Amino acid sequence: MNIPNFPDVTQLAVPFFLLAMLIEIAFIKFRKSKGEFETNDTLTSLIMGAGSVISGLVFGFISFGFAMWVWQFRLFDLGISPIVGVLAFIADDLRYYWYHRFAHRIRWVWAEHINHHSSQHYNLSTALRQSWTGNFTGKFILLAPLVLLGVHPAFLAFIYGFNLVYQFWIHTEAIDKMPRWFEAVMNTPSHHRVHHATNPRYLDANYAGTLIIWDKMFGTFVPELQEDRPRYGIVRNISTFNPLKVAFHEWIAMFKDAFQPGLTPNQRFQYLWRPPGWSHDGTRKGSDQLKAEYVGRNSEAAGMPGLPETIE
Amino acid sequence: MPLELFAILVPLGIALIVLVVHYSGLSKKALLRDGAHAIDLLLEDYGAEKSTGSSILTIDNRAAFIELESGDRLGLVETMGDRFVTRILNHNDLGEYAFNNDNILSVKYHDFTHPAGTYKFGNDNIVSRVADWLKNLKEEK
Repeated sequence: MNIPNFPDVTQLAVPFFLLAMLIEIAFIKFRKSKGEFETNDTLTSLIMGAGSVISGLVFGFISFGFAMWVWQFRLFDLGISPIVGVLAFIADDLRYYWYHRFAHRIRWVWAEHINHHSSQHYNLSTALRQSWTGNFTGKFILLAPLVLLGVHPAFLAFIYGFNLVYQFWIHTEAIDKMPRWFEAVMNTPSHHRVHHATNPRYLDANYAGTLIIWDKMFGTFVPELQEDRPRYGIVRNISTFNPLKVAFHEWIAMFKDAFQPGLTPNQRFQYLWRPPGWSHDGTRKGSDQLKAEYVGRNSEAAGMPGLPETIE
Repeated sequence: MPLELFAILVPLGIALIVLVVHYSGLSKKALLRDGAHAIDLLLEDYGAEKSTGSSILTIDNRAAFIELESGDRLGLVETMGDRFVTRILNHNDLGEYAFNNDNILSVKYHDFTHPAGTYKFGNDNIVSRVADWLKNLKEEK
């Protein structure tokens, strides 16, 4: 089978990533731009990034193999051209939005994605704190529609690289807001800070990769507020810089929950597919409950973006 | 990019960035100012909890145990780099614990990313208060 050869955009961008981090550090140090770095946190994030690349090299055949298998059933062959590239980029960004939304609302996928959120910092190194286990969740199934429509898997992988590179620069506090027209259409540092925040109003918001319009279309957009500055991390922050623990802690916690004694098969299954925070006995809190509790304590915030109108 | 070049660039790049961060003076270590600070941090993460206002700091100001109104839970705040990690502990979270003669408490937690902690307190009275809190927590069902 003839597979077109495209460069790996994210690998080519590595020198740019390094340079951009040095510039961000310089701006924080000498220009007093907003942002914080911590040695161990940065090291962990960068090791997670390197591990993610290695994982992709070793296990990438799983998702690419699936996409190539689907390719034989394609309805069309759109070929490789700039216009197909642009349209596929936009369609793939929509695919990313839904993957990302599932990743926050289905614990099975959250188990691989959580490590990207596991730092309490928000700087360019956080962008590189990536999953090691993404090829094992089955998320590659979401590639099927575009492949069936005739976008070659190799072209799709090439295009997705640009999406990932775009998402790098938005992981910073050094940039406050972009011009209004840009903020209206594109994902920006401000929008993505909201996504990384654990403040109740910001939970489960702004899933966009490149275009923020998806969140606005599907009702998950929440703007960043000056009066509620984002606090980064996860609801129950991890207490380790060990990359192995960062990579696997949620998988271990999830399977520990699912295999605890005394559960029905349905309850075990629910620990895998229900949102993070779900428990069979109701002793834990998910994002909906945390939002409702927040409104209970701050009634003036009821109905604001990201928060319920009333307490259920 | 050739894999060989990539394999050299990545470790060197990581080392460069980490050294720059470390020697830039940007990397700080967090400390708890006082008990009230610890309570504020805990309640920021767990807004539905209510503290009795009573907290006990370690001698190095890197951890604090916080009494909660609920009685069957205990708050814990610990530093991690320049940040803090908070926990609401119940009897299921607490493993074995022991005090030694130097007012040092060693605790094991049922927590994969925070399996154990060692805490040094100022004097015997403080230690006995922490011991009471942990004993109560352990006995809660």
